[in-house]
Amino acid sequence: MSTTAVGSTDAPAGVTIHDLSQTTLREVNAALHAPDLDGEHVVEHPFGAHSVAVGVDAPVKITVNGHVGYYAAGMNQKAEVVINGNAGTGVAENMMSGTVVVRGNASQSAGATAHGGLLVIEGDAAARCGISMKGVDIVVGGNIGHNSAFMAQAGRLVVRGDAGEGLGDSIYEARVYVRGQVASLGADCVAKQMRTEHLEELAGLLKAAGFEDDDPASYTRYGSARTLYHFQATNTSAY
Amino acid sequence: MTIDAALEELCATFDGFYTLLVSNRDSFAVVRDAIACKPAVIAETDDWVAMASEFRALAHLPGVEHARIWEPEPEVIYAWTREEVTA
Repeated sequence: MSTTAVGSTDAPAGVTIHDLSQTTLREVNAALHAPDLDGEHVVEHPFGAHSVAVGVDAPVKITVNGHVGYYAAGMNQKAEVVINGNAGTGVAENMMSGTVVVRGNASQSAGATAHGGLLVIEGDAAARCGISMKGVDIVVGGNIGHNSAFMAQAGRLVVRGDAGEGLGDSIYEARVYVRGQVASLGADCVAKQMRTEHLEELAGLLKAAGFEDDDPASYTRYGSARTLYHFQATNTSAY
Repeated sequence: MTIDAALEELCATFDGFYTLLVSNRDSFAVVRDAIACKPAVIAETDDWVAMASEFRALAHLPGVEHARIWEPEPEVIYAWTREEVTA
């Protein structure tokens, strides 16, 4: 790995710096899509740009210093992305693998439709966090907004704070763990017993996200009551 | 009528999706509908408050690096009133 400083002369060995005040977003993302990409990459001065570090498919470390706009680190595969700031709508949407860490807050639809990997939001996440999640693990340090885990199909959502209204509406087999208050549960979402395997699973997720001091027993598990899975003639009038 | 009271009435009257910035001579307020799918972000410092649909529009404001930045919650009225400045 050669050391290339793009728009900067102060890159440590093995670190490539991409300065978005000097380089276009398209060039930066193209550089992050290079075949056989490796090493560490730092994105400076994002100034809220959309689609920063989307579509990366390499086991590299990417640090973004500043707030980002919509869809940051979307479709991520294998990369370890850290955003030292807030993230706009749809951070890590459709992520397949790797990790995305947001040191600040995230806007709505964080981790939407994501299939795998780990998304950590150290602050709050807004509405629709984990909407239609399909296997991703999401750990939120603060609160989440309304309609989170809507139609969540697989994966785990951990919330260290409170959840807004309509949590887990029409949820399938994703598991949701909340430590604080839930404003209201959505259709077909119910509180469930924390069995040994859930305590172990939650402890592992908290450790992976850097919150290993939390007591898993202080969380409540939520999931599907499975009453909406099949059409029932008695519900005809609802259609 | 205060801006808070006006916006409470607005939330009861309006239907559909909206994120509004409402301002008059002395006040500045932000309110979103209950669904809150229209984007919004607020930045506040000791000297100013600003609202936009995305952070990119606020990124170059003076002192924004020290601003408190958050996304307004649905049907919560955020209102500021200008301080009296004596000549």
